[in-house]
Amino acid sequence: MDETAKTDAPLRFRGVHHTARPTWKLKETVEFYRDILGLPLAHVISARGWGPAEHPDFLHFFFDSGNGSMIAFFYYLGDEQPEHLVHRPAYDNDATHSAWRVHSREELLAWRERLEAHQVPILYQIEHEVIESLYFRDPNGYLIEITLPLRQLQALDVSDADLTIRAAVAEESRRLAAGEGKLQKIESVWRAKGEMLARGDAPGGREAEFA
Amino acid sequence: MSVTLFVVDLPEFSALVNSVRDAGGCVLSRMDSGYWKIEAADELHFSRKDLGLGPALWNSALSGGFRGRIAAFDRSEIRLVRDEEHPS
Repeated sequence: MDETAKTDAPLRFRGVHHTARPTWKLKETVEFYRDILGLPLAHVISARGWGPAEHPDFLHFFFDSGNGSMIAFFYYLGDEQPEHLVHRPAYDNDATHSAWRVHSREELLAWRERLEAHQVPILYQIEHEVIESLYFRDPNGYLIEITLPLRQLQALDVSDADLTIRAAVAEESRRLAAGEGKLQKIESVWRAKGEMLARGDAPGGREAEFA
Repeated sequence: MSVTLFVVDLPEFSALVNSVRDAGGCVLSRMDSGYWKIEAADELHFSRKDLGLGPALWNSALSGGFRGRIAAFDRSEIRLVRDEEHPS
């Protein structure tokens, strides 16, 4: 096998090992994840600062989030929270979040009850296309999602995803070439996708009349 | 020239297809690519209340793609009309 063939061989991730975010609230964060959510504290690294000269000493602590995954935090000693890392509750800040899986609607509702019993405000409970989710915040303001998959993804989800992304990239490229700037409205993507489907530019793109 | 809406044949979007199945004035066909094609001469109209869609699905109701122009898309109604400026 030559080098190119080696690097092009299929590789897959095998799930989440840990997510990691910084915190400037040690006690509150431990109490929230360990005592309110009830996630076991699984591992802690406590170390002198190393690496860059300005790196502070730190605690790096991990909570068990199931299936071999962990939710981790860095607590930097003597470090003031910089302004640009203050979490603001806005759609673009909240885009950075993780969604934790449950197996049944009963489990999802049990989490809701648990959170409400501990006076943790539920921001939303929403049914999306293929999941139903609860949203709330931790003491750092970080958005947390607990989600129930409503159905298995299938081949059509994959081909539709491919078509939507191809339409979006093609439409943005067209706009940029025409001096119209980046995508502004989703309507333009839906129109581009419609034109691609009308041309038969999709897997199995021939049409069968519905009787 | 007409207005066309494509709807991916997945369960969460079936309300859109079912709502036009028995309606007059449009033609429903199933494409091999996995999309329903809904065609009307001048206009397609959907009411959120009739479809029973929550906000997330309502806001992606046209995500299968279309040919035409969005004349109205608010919290309760979608009107897709023939596009006179960019005829298909």
